[in-house]
Amino acid sequence: MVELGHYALLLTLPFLLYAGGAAFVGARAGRPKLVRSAEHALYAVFMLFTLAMIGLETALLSNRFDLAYVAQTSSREQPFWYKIPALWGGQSGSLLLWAWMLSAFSALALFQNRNRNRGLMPWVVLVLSANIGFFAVLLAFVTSPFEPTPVAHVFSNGQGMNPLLQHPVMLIHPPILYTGFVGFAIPFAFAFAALASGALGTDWFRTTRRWTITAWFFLGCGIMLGGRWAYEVLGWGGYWAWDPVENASLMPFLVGTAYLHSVIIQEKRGMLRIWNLALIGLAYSLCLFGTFLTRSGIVQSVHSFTQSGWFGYVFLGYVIVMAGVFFGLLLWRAPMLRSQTRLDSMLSREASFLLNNYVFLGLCSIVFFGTLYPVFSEALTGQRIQIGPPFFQRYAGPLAIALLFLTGVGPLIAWRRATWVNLRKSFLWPVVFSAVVAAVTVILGVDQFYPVAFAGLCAFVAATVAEEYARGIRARMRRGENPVRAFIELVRRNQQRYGGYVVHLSVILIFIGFAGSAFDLEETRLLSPGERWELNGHTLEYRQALPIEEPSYAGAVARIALYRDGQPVGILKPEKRIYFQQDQPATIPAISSSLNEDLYVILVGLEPDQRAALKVYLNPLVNWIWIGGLIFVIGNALILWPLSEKSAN
Amino acid sequence: MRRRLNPGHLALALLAMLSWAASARAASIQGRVLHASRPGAAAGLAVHLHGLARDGKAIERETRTDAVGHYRFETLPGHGAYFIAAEFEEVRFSGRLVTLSTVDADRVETVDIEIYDASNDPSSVSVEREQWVVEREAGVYRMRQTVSIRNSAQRVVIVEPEAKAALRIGLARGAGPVRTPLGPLPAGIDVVRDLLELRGPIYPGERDYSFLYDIGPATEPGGAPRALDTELRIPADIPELNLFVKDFGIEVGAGGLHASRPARERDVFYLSFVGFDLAAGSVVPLRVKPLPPRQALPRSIQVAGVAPLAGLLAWFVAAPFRSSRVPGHAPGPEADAASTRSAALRTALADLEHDFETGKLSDEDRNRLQKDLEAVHQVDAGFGKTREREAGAAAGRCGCGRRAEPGDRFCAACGSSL
Repeated sequence: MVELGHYALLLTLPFLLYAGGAAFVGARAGRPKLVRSAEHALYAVFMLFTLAMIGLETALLSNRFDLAYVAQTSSREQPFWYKIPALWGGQSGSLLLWAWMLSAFSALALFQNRNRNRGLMPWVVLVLSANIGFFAVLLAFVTSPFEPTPVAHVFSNGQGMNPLLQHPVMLIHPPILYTGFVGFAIPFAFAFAALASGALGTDWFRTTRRWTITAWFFLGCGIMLGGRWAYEVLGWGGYWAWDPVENASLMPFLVGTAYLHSVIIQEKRGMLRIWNLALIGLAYSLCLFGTFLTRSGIVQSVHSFTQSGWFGYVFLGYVIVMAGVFFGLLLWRAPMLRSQTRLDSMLSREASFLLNNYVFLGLCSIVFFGTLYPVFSEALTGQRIQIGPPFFQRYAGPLAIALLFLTGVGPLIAWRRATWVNLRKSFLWPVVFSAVVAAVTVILGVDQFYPVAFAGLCAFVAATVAEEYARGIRARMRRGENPVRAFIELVRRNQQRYGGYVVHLSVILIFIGFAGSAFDLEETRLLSPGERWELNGHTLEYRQALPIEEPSYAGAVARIALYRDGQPVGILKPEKRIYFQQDQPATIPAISSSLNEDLYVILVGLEPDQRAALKVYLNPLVNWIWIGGLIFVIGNALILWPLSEKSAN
Repeated sequence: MRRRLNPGHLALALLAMLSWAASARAASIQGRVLHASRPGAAAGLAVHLHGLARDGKAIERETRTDAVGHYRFETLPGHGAYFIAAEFEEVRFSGRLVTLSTVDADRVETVDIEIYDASNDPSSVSVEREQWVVEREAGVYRMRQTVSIRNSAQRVVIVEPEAKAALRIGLARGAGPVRTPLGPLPAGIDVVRDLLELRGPIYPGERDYSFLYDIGPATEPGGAPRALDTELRIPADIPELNLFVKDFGIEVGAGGLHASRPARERDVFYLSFVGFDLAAGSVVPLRVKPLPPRQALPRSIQVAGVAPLAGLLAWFVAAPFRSSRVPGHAPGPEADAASTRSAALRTALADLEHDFETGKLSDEDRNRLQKDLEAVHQVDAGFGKTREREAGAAAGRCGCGRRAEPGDRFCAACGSSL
């Protein structure tokens, strides 16, 4: 099976070459059979990549350490459940996962459009073949997961996967994130096809709407899961470090969010046609660019697969070519894309969406600049200068405020043109509620600008969402429906709109979590056994430290009794470990969670006389971020849940 | 998890260093013999020099310390390796190894030697760590065992031959004759059953003792690989034990030891295991099972096996050419555009209605915008049709991709109006 997987991987190349060539010739010569044959070739590529995936997973499960990749990412002692994610635990395996997902999504998109969009499909096949082809060439000739170990060497056991990655979240985090990255390839391919074929109507984005939302949703979930993993595993007290690899996933998410809003304007008003094509091109280009960042070693990151040398240049070349051809086509077609519709008024939903687009792109630019600043500085001055979280917080903060404001404004303004009377009617209660919440926040002793602004604006957005739901339900009740029925019908008939409001609600909760970080507290202390430590109403009593010895690691665990307002809460057990097989230390935090705050304790060190150095982080409101993540999932489920056309209309 | 230098490698390195010098000059080695508590004890002691010159000539010298413990050897060949030892109360105390490869005349090296009183109390002696290395060489399993022994007292420990050993070191079960990398076991170390008994001298501080022995054949009489089934015996407490097994395609069972990161020495890989705080009397079972070599199918058979798969997929790819039904094309661009426009109009009107129902629009605004919208779409539709016709004509092809010939009014592939 392993050898079959290897041959299957190599066989993808001629099929991809054929798919791309046949699609191009079929499009140019108008030969539908050739185009359909090209589509079949892409189905075949999906089957071959599936065999390659099965082959590599078989190699991992059967301890085939004669393959360098297996020796590097697995071991005999690695639990079965972590041999599965070992498939994407290294450079070449994760590239294989990427290529397999791309081929699977391509096959699904082709199947969905087997009798639709026939004018677009040859170009879609061509673009997808080119994208899959790049990864297939990498996997076949540059970094093959089936590469044998050097002939003179014998590996009867492997090093095992990085222990930090042996976490339940890692079973799903990379595939979810990749679903987001790779998912953008489908709308990109349709947009490309629209530009190449000249079919510049609404088909390309109507056809790929679900693909775009799904990709964006998975990207958001991937980012959220990554943050949760970092919080629980890395032991530094935070969830987002503005690390280049984290930023690499944030950039396409921001651009994707902008696109999801602006494409509504094209759908409703036929405006922003060039803008939307540019956004989807940019979103996918940033997905590829993020992958380049993760794998080239151009920037330092705890998450990256470092591979220096020409690998990075090849990847960068691919990103530039793909984006260059797309934007070249866009320039060529620009005269045909100019909209006849103009913005009726700045007091309209279109205008607020457009403003929100500018804010999202502004945020993306800041993240892009901050992430690549070390590269720019090295190119200009010869010195590699890193810029950390303060830079991002300083420049992204004001834009986040603007974004939150627009999140509240957008839903309440009417399309085309709103009147002052309507505006006053719509915004009165949200503004009053927002002002009250901001005032209460100040009265409670908060004197920093951002927390007060976030609190006020979160209240504003929450009020707008509540008002939208209330008005919608009232409107339906006027047709004789009871409130429950009215709610269900409202959501069912306007899935995208009311699901979107739930997503806005998740944004509020996430921003509440962000606002809490302004009050984070961090302290370190050396405690003797029996000693107590009072901290903001919490009492930590260090009892003792015990050695731990497990098959894969050894270390020490500190036992700390936690009291809150004098009442016992529980025993916290932060650990310090060293993993034998990887020769790698790890700090495992102990977290006591509540809706108000997290008490996050790490064992920094242990003295021979049992004194323990403990670091405590108090993270107020942090759990609202994860709750916001769950609401984000619910909101997207409301948007994406398939309802029959009949029931919806 | 420190790895120790092999004394054999050290000797080789020494010889290599000796070989590159160009010419020999005279050199001297001097130093002082020191006693930690009784300075006078260092007077009049015999100091021995054992050396090997670059030309292979052995050099043996002896001198005595002066009243304050100083000694000096002169006119030594400038290229050589020298080993100095002082004798105190019938115990030899060695200084460091001196290697000279100098072209400078009158080179003087200083080697001080610490001497200690002797004691027969072994309570200060303990094992710090042990390293066991299993290799397969010349048809046998060979063990290279290094024991780090610490004597925490400021006395050299020596016990009488008939007394209980100062320290016992476990050997692997089935151990053959034991030797050191440099030759036979020195005096004071005896093999008793599967144990090494150390009677001293055991010097203050920490020193490594290395031993080599075979633990059985690596092949069966018929030539098939043979498994190694043995035990590592731990007669004294060991804080840390490292086991390395040369990787020649094996599966290792090492009892309760932890599998550790595989180690590499040049081009040889070792499976690695580590254990902590092993109590005296514990036994670590060790089983090294050679894995059967992986029987890979010949490449030609592999390719032949994959060929049907490739053929099947090629047949699948060619299927559309065999089909009489050409994949149906959707309506042409004009019809597409018309349906798109009507869909957009329906959506816009529904949104307008929803905005009105939810109080965002007044009755007056709603009627005005509805009229505007319908009017704009009528204009758009007319303009769009014209533009698409012009675009199609300019491109010279139908929306389905088929190239149009001059004068064609309908597409030959899909029948759409040109």
